[in-house]
Amino acid sequence: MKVPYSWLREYVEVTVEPQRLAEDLTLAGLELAGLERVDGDVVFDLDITTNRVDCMNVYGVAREAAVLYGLPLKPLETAVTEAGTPAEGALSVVVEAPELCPRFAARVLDVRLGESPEWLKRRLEAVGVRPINNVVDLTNYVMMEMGQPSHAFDLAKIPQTELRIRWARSGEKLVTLDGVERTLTPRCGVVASPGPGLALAGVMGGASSEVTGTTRVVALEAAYWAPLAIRRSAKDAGVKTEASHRFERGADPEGPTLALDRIAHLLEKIGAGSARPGVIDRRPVARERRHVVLRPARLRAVLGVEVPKDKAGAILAGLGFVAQGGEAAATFRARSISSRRSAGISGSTRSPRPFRRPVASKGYGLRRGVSGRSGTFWWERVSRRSSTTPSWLKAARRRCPASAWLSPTRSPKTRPCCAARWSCRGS
Amino acid sequence: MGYEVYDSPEVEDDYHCFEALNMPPDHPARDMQDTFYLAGGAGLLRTQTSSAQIRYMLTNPHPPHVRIICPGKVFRRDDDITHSPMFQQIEGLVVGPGISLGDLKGTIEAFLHALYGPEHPVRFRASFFPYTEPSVEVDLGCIVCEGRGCRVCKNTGWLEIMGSGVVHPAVFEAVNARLGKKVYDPEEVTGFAFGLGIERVAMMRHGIDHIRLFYESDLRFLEQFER
Repeated sequence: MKVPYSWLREYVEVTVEPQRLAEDLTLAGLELAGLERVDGDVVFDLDITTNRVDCMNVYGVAREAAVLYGLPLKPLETAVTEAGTPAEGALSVVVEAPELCPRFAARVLDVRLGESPEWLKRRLEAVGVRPINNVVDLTNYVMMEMGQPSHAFDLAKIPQTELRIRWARSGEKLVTLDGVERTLTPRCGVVASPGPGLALAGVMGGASSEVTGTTRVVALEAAYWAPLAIRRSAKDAGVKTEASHRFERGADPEGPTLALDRIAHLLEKIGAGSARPGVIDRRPVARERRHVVLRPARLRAVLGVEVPKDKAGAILAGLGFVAQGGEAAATFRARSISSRRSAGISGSTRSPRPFRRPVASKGYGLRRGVSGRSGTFWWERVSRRSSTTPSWLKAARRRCPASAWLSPTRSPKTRPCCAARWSCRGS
Repeated sequence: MGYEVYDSPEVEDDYHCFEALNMPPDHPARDMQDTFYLAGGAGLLRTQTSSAQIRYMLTNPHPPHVRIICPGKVFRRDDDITHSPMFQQIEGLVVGPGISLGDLKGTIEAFLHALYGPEHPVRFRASFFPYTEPSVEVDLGCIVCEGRGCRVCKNTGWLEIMGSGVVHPAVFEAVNARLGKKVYDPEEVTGFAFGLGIERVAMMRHGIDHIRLFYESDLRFLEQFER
């Protein structure tokens, strides 16, 4: 996941140097895989583990940074001025397979298709997305910004202006946006018209309803797809995309409407169109927000270090959890933000270093071997070290238990034994 | 360090290798490890020595206390200069009342300092494995450039040495379910586990850039090491 420093700073006013920020994020679990300098900006390339789909976007990384430094996180602007006839009348949506699609949301947009403004194109290129046209670019931009993939259909190319979400029929053919004709299996989900399929659900749009230069009205879709369904579908269709990568790891069930509003807001901002009134929101499966119970005693037992309750509370609040239960209670419930799946506390990496004696019952001393580091090392025979312990090492061992691990080939003058972290009881 | 060395089979079943380790079928984490399956559904070649954790806990002679080290071959469909389809791992598991992340840090730091020398800093970095929560990746200050940044550490100054973490309660639950009684009550006992690739550690330790040298039995290579 690529994250430009300047883009991140739009949401949280980080003051530390990019290099330092990258190190702190790495320790918090968002590992830096590379750092690029482009036109005076810094672009981080982060390796996001599969459990942290909430950080597979710039805003999610900004949220982590905000917690790490105790800074406020700016909300995404989503104000929309709606115009025209209601969206419900222009497009109908039927979810035939609720187990595939627990939530499907859509907006209808009047658009003036064209090129995206420079800033938008530059940002997309910085995160490795090719700009296409303003509408498609905005869907990609918002996916990179807040993690919700979405898809724009040309409304005029949707037969009977009706979208049906269903499983594909065995052997059903669909030409996807990349021009490849794919043969689908019943494990693939499709967004279809009452007739033919229009898009491979949660994976890739279809060619027949693509937004082109002549498009005037767009049906913009954003959904929450069942992770397992998307995983199987992408496997069977033999294609992986940025969208399927997020959906199969579990995107934010609260994301669809937020993303639609954000896209509509930005569309207006860049002067490329406006939204029709209303959001179509089908939720065939009622979904309760998950609750996470955090017990301070358990936290202590697992971490081996005391995290004060108000500090734990502040970290969780910063991550978007809503605490329930009084301060006096031994436990408090946190209502998790919808996209976060495990409650690892990233802010705690700077907490006091828990340290106990190693779990061991006997003395131990592994030998240090030889080292040959040149590229052609096997041609030279590396001399064996002497088996007798040098007198300085014997003396050092008497003085300090940590020096038991000192190499006989290295002098303690340059590398003092007390570099070891446990206390040196000797002189 | 008072650990029992425990051997477990290289041919495993889905339960020990994945399911009991909190990786149900279709779990995305299974993507990280491409598996060799035996013909006719006879099982699979283990992709990590973590399967030994489950086997030991199921047959543990003194439950719920565990302190084991499990070296062994593991198999993955991966083949390039730093990956071999067969390589060796060492797994460690400690379970008991009151074991915490603090114990993990102390133990691993002692182990790495014994292996590389106490002058090398050790760093713990939050990560993700399905069978531990929290999970931590362990980095050692680069032994080639001493943290200044070089080709081996990709200019980060740190080398990834091993994965570790506090045992996920779901692993205990899976073992309990198979045993039919609550031997490892996740409320009472906690544990930590770690695993590292031996070749990878040796490669970094001795600056060896090709993993196959370990299996080719070339005397010119072998004679450079102490017996």
